[in-house]
Amino acid sequence: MLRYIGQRVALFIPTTLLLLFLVFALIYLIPGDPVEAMLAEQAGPELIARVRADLGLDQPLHLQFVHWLGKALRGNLGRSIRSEEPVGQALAKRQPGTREQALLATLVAVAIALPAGVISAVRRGQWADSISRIAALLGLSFPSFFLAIVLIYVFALGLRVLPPSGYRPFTEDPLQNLRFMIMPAVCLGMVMAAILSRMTRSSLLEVLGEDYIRTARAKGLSGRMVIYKHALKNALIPVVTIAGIQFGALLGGTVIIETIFALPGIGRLLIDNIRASDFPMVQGVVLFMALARLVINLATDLLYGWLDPRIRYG
Amino acid sequence: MRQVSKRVNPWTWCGLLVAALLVATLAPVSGAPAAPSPGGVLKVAIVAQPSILDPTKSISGISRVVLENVVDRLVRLDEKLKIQPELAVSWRTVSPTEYVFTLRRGVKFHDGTDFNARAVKAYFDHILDRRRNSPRLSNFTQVRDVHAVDDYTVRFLLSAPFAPFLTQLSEWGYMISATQLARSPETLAEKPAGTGPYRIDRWVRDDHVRLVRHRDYWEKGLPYLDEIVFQVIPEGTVRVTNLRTGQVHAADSIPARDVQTMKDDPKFKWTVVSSPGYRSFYLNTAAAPFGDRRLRQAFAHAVDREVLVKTVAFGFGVPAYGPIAPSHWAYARHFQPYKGSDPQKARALLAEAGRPNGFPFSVKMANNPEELRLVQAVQEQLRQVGMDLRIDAGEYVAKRSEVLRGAYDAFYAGFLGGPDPDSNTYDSFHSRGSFNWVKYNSPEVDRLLDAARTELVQEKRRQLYRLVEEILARDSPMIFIKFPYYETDGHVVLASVQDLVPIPQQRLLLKQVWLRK
Repeated sequence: MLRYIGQRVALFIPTTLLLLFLVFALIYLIPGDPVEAMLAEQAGPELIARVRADLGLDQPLHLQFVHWLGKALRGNLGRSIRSEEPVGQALAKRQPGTREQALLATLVAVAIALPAGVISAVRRGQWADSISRIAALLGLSFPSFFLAIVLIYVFALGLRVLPPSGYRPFTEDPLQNLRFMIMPAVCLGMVMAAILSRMTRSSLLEVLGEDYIRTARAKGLSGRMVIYKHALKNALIPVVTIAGIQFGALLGGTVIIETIFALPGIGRLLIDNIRASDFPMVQGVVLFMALARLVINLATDLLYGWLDPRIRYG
Repeated sequence: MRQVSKRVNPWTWCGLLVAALLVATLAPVSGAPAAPSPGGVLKVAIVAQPSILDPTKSISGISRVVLENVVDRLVRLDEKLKIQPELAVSWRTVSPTEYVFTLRRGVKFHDGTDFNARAVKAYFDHILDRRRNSPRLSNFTQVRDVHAVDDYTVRFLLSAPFAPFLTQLSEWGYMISATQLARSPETLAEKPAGTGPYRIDRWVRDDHVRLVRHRDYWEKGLPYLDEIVFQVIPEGTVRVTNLRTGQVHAADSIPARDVQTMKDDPKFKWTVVSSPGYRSFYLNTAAAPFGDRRLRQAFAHAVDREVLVKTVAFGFGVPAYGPIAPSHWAYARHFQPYKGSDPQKARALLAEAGRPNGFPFSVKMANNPEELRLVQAVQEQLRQVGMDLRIDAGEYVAKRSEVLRGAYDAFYAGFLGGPDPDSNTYDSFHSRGSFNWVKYNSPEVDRLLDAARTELVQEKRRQLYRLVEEILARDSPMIFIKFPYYETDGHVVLASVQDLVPIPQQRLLLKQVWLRK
């Protein structure tokens, strides 16, 4: 197991370095010049040139990279050009909203997907299965921004039971926080639920065809017992993996849902700063998002190895 | 009774009727103006958050919405864009290059320190220091020196006469605490200490900026509200829902379709002011095809601005024929050199320029649906005369960079403008102007713009700007389309919000605003 962990972590380091380089190179892919974006309508070329020099943008690319890497490895991601806010601090402030959104969306998804997937598998071919599969298809093909607008119309404008948008930290007012978070969580959770319920269904169907299930049935165990005690546990391994990956993706923020519901999160931080060509901020956010994925993938790999010995020794 | 009525003179009846009407109009009935009631929290939806609140660095319009209520200037602009005293009670022009201001006494900054001549000098010394790279420097290039004569008298010395000087002061001369500027300039980004009616309490990025009443505000009895919360809501539909459900009291940038329905709803009030900015096509006069004046004139003749404003812009705006906007004192209402379209004249000009079958050209622009609709309509109008407009839409900053490099035929964009006609003309059309993206070079216009800048008599300036507009219409380096008054200067507010007077260019001054309970 130790050797396996060592291998995975050893792979993690060069990937991270490559990632750092790509993130740095990113600023040359963002359309427009950041200093021009900041000042072009207010200042002449002279001031623009001075600010470029101040930011070190007039130096050769490789020097800029070494300089940036040195600081990034020490945890200093620089400051926003526009707002002068330290990038690390900006990320830290947007984190709680995004993290909570990801967590709640995953909860919503699991709460819907598990029963739907199990019913669908157990009642294969019956009307309950058809309903569940159609619902999953709808969940997958229904754009989340449209669902968001529908939810706002129904629950905020029509029934007036929820506020249309905004955010309050959980630590300040838990109840109000939930009122703000419920619609975004449902929007994101629906898509995830669709994926997970299909996954649960197919995985459970596969397991239900295995020999040991037949043995269990032959022993005289009740259907319920067979499904919950023997089949579901094994069937859930791929489901948990997918849920984990989805959760990791949500941790990177969601541009559309955060924008619609005016949630201060990582996704909005990214899109606003791309628009403003604020490259230290964009670099920081992308690095964070990519690292979050890498870490979650590493954790999933390790978890897999622990769950399934065949992977460890394979 | 009959006898009595018979005896009454008809004139008496008329008199009684008039008296009754007068009483009816003067009597306090419900709905009539009531005395302002203090207190309450006003929530205003804003489209994006301010990028930075440091008045020496901020350039965004959104920052200005907030700063307007936090920081005062020596002079301010009213809703008619006229100069009014603010922290200066009076001023005199000693010579065209020397202004002396007498300052208001007893004014306190939010950090408790006193406002005086030293604070004025400290601010200007700060922004005029080249090492600080303040964008304010370009707003005050003419200021040579600021001298504190005594505690409440300040003298400004200019390097040359500069007619828009007072307007520039009202735009960019934000007075902030000299103590904060000297001791903790890094705190300016989030909490500048001004002398305004409200002070910044908290800024939660991407969420809201909360202002609270400044108890030592110099204007007695003001402001009325306890708090103002600027809530960031980027999505138009969601801003409208927040208004409809009463979660916010005011919002701007309301989608046109919602404005139509909300205007007729008694729950809402629609306030609008004309912006001093314009929307136009910038034509690259330094390269083919628009290096040829006849082709630019053909473009100008082929476009029907009235139709565009009426149909594509839903009537939210005024057709534009020159750079000077309806809110400027120099605006000439009847100056409409290209009113209606004249396809025949356009075709004749094309033929004269050796392009009888028209020509293709590309228009760079931001990828914005509303702007795209307008340019597509222009595309259709130009097609009638054979001009083939090709849209090259993309990220705004990237497109503008290409324009700045001169690699373009035409560029469609908005210009925010400024309260003085100089802001709408000098930098855009003077051969040395910093935003002369059309690369226009006319010694005649240069001379007139220089003269209008140094001439202090408004009537003479008006005549100079009139001449500038005529030459610009003839040369057509830019095809003006409209003066918008919808995107940024229109607000929808709940009927409970009282005395909101919007001032052009997103100056949402809230000190006199109160909430009807």
